[in-house]
Amino acid sequence: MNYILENARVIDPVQNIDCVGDIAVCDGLLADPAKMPAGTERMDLKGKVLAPGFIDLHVHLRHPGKTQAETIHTGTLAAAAGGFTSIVAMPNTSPAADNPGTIHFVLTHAEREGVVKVLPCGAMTKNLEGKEMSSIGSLKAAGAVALSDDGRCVQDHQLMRHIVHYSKTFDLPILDHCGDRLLEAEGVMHEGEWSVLLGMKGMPSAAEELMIYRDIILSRMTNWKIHIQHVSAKESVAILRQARREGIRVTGEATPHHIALTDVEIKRFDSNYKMNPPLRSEEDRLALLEGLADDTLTVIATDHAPHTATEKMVEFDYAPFGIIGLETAVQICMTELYHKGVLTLPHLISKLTKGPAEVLGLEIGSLKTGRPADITILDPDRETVVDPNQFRSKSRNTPFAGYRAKGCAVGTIVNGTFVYKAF
Amino acid sequence: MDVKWTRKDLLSIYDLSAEEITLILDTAAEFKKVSQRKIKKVPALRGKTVVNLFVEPSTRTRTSFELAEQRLSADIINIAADSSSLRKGETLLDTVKNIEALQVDLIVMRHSAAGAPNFLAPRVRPGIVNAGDGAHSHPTQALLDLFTIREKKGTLKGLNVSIIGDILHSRVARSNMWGLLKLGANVTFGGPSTLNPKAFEKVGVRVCHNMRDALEGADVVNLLRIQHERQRSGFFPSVGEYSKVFGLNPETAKYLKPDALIMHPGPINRGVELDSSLADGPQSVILEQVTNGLAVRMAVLFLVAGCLK
Amino acid sequence: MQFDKPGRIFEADAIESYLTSIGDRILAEFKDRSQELLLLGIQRRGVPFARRLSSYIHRQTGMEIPVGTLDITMYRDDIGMRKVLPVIHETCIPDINGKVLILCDDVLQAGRTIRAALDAITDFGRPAIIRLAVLFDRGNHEFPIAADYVGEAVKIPDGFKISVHWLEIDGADFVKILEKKIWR
Repeated sequence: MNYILENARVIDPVQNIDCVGDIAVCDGLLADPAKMPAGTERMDLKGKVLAPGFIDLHVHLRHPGKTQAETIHTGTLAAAAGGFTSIVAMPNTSPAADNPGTIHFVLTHAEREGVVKVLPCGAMTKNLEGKEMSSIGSLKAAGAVALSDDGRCVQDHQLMRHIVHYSKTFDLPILDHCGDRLLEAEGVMHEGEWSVLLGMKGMPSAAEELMIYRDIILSRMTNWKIHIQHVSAKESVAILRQARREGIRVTGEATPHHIALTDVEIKRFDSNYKMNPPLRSEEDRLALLEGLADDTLTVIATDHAPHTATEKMVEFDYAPFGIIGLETAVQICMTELYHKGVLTLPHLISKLTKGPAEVLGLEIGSLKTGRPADITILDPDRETVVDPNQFRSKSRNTPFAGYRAKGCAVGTIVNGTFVYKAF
Repeated sequence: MDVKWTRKDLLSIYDLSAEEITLILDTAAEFKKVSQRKIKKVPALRGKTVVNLFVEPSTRTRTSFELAEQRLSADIINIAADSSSLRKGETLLDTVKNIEALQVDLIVMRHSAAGAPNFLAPRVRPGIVNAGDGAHSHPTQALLDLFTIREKKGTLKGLNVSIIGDILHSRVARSNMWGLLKLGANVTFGGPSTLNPKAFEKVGVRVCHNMRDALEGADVVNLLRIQHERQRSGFFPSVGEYSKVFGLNPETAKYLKPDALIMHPGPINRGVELDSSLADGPQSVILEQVTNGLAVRMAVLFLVAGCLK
Repeated sequence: MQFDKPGRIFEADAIESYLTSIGDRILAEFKDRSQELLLLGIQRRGVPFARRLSSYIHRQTGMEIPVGTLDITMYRDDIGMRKVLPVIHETCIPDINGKVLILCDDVLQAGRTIRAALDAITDFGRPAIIRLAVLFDRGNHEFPIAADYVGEAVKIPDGFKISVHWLEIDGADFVKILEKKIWR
């Protein structure tokens, strides 16, 4: 189906476009509206914002292995409803994506039942154990777009050095979850005022900071790209900022929950506030906003981590880390970043398009003519209340039930086809 | 006017107002007399069933609660579950839902995970009384400490109370802190810097890392039991050094006010955190704490039972 | 006496005269056993009644009749049925074994308080005799309990209760008829 989307505010940070205009879709590709035949269907998007399809660098689809929590089908449905057209699938499935077979499995299912594009990420080490390098070359050949041991952090610096160096050959960026295991000391929340008052085991910011320093050093040694996942501490923002000024090839992402929440919430003992890295202090939260504003952090990613209600309905200490985020990310970012004046709309959109595309080094995330028509349509002022019962995701583990948002995605187009439309 | 008690659960001292704490202490004073009678039993909880669910082992607290329940004429069931086996089998919520289905009225629970009673209370019908959860909260221990201090000193307002030891891992220290602050006492935490975080200063506690600063001018000193496990985890070099630097002995006790009370939640490591001569000396109120624990627990059970739907 | 509507029904002088009449009757009945007499006031408004009876007897005879206080909250039969839990007041009971115990309350309403008080007394010992003195008896008891000394029998409509106010607790002596609060 060919059509023209007209009168929207078109924002494409890659091409530096921000104007009211028209976008044409022809045979699933972006086309020049002027060259479309007369009588092409037109859709009026007055008052809406039209952006390149959003990319989420950090999603756990749980498929294969834990399909009671999420599948490639439900996860991509959730992505579509949240405004994402491409999602990077983390490798900590069961079996882990440390072999071409699992990558192939993910791609096959994505092809068959995926609603948006799934970009598989391979494991850095075998079974994510941090002991032996996985078959990185084979992973690349199978279609992996990046490497990560997310959920864990390789503690062996020598091994990590080799992984970074080796993956450069295959042009695979490293997405690293930074945390020193000994300093984290089995903590369940941020080490700070609230962990002390509540008597709960804390994970100090230093655990994250130490490993980010390590990665900065390895990135400099190898001259290769390391992307720091879910940066959560103010110290981490500061050292990333300094490293980037020095031209070291490190990037960083922030999650919507670290942007919106702090550790004071833990006093409810609700395991939907338990994630790793943990919610940190207000100072840390403000530092993340600053880091986003000055482009120390170029990416917003959800760390969508589905868990079943049974897994989460336990004592806080025993609950698994992680919350879902695909269907709340845009609402939270529009409310907390755009409407509160932290980022302009083009700047916010760049964190969801240009930023992640640059990390991956892929030709996605723009509205260039001739590229696949992956488009996200926003209503910047629509007011909504988060209702987990409406989620497409199989899981409901979110702390944002009842959250009042201003601004959301109202349309998602993948290869020219609407996969979500709410206007 | 009379203060109203409206809680079906006692989860932590943090939740209570100064008036509610005072009401518990006043009620406990009357229940203390019951235990001094020939017939030490009242029918206040007759026909009510109390389950003592101890997911972390405890002898003292469980005995104290059990006796308190018996003296209130409640029917009692004891369930001791090792938290690890509980985790392998059914969830805590399922365990408690099963107990609820037996139409019990109150659950007294001890659990190694912080916040476990807070997690359960809104999800079940029976009242929940927290008998200690992780390093988070141990409200009845704090109440019995407050009761003992008030009984001996008349008031808590303006008193200097020092709590010494492994503050970081202590639910007793945290619960005492909230209770003492709410009732107007000055709170000092003493102990090695690794076990006594400065973050407590944010709520108005004085945090000291040497005994002289921690003890000088104290009206009350409460010593916490030091766990050998902390030494193995590298928080301090040896029990011997701990005792030398942070133990209360006749030398360091000189910094206290002459009429200062010496308290300990038990069980005591004699000669480690507390010298034997002081534990048995005239300033020690350690055994009175045990007596008062019974009265405080009777008061708490009586009050929460009165608010069950 | 019968009253149809809420309002003040007695003042301090009437209270005093009922009280002295009860005091006289107790003295008459137990003039040979006055050494064994003990007045036990039920918290809260039976306590001023017992204290005043004691001081009246003292004025009349010079005898010091001991006064105890009893809070029956722990013995109630309606724990958990009330919206607000009653606050427990002091129980202070001298040795009651072999004594002539005069249980004092301001008003005999349903009889449930007296039932609880008798249970409580049993836990404290074994008096030789227990008598019940009340300033006012409302009638229509829910338990088979009657008072031995009554200042005045007062009939009031259903849904109302007699409320005695004491100088010691409320700042003035008077008696009122109030609408009953519904607790359930």
